[in-house]
Amino acid sequence: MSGWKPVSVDPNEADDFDLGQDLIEPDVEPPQSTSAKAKTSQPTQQNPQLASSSDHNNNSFFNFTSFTAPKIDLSNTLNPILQKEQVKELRFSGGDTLDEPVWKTLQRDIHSIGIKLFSVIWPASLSKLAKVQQHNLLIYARNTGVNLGINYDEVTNNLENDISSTIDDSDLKKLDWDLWGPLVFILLFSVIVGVLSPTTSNSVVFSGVFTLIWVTFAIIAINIQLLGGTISFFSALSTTGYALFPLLISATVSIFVKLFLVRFLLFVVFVSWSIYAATLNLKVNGVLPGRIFLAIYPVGLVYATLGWLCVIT
Amino acid sequence: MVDDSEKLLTSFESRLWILTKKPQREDDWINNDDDITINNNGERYFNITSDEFFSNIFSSINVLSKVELETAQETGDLYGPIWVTATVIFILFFSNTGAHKLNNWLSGSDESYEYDFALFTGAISLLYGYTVVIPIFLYVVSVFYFKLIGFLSLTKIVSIYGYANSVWAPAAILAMFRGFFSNGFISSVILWAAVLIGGGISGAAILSKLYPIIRNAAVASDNGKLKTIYLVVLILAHIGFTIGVRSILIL
Repeated sequence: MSGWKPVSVDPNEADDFDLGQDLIEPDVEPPQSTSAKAKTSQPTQQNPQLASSSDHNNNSFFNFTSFTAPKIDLSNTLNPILQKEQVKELRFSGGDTLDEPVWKTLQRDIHSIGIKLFSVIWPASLSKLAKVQQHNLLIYARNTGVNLGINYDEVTNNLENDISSTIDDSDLKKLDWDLWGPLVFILLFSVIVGVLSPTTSNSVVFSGVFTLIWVTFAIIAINIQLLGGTISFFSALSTTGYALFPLLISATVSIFVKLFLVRFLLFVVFVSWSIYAATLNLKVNGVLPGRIFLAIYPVGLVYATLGWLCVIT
Repeated sequence: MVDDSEKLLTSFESRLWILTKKPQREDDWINNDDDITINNNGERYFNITSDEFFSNIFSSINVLSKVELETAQETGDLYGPIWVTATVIFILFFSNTGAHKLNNWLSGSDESYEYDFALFTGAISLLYGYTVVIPIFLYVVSVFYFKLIGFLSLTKIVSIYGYANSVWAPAAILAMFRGFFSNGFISSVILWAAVLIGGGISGAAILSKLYPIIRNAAVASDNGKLKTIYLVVLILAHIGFTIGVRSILIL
């Protein structure tokens, strides 16, 4: 999502990249002098005497361990460029998923699907996160000069200080995209519309609706991505797909209820629920503040079309 | 994600670029006029905000307002043509099925109305076709055949045509109310009123923006008759389009 990733390259040494020498981690531990030298946080280039005094194979930057745990202090070197942002150095912490039981893997996926489904069922749970994310995006837009229809001179200069609470990165990580929701909901929705269809050609309606929904969702996702911000194509696809859930309820109810008026009221309620959920989710996932309406409008149009299809069949 | 790291990189690179530019003030790079993030070809045509979108729509519906002369350099946005036209297609579909539903409901007849996918595909090809084909034709003929100087860019013409479609949305909703009347005469009056409002206002919106440009370009290239020919062709095309929309409304 939109969290800052650590930059682990020192611009002073980036040009000297030569991975041919030290791809293999040496069996022996580097001598004590190297680690002591690295602690001084001075790049080795500036002390050639010190570097030559130690073992010449053991260049401290090209050592494998220096890639996994960089000892270069980036916050000093990048200070003139990244004026107010913080630069953190993090170890690779991908975790090991090879050895875990299959049940644990499934459990993790189901848990993440559940969290995204809950954010659609109870969208208000995201409102605080959405507010903070929008503020961050405003800072991003100001720094990169995106046209948002806002005069940045009028906005207070210390946007960074206005922020009341910082977001926990894990909150965003939980809402990371997947395509389970869109797949299941679109499949169920097309089955229901196919069953509802008055003609005998149920399978044609099913396949037509299934394809049509995927294509329109792809167009919507491209539209959202072109509008800018930090949202990705699949993130937009996932968000709009999960927010289809309320419409699925409305479609299920309309199997049993044939009254036009009841169906119409359900249509209004559930479509607005879907749109509200999609709005908050898109805000969290990184649509720029001045363009929320432009991003959500086509989504609402498609939801309304799908809902209307359930009302009239 | 790959996308985010790219975004990060662009912002990072743009800052480096700014540093080399050496701004006078500290805030100078914030409101920089040349938009540095819009380097992507697609994003250039979607670089609008909600407020600009609404003002474009209002200026195309309110044809009596003073028209600002468009300039040849403007790119225009493609968000409007795509989604305004999609809205109109949806509302035409909604209006057509809604009118039948209302009529059935009020007259108490039990026959179920089956919607027709030909309505959907017909509306899509008519509206998107008119919004894209006529501007391409206009642009190609003016720029490559008559070699007019100072003509609008293609995307700007598409943008004008797309936003002009917006008036069809209220017109189609008006047409839906004909479902309240089982009387054939009143419902046909309502239908004609809706069609005339839609066709008239959208045509006026297109011409009020395009005609000054065409006139200036024709005068600049010493061909006074050209503007009359353009006017006649554009009006005829628009009348044909209006009749097409009417046939979709009653399908």
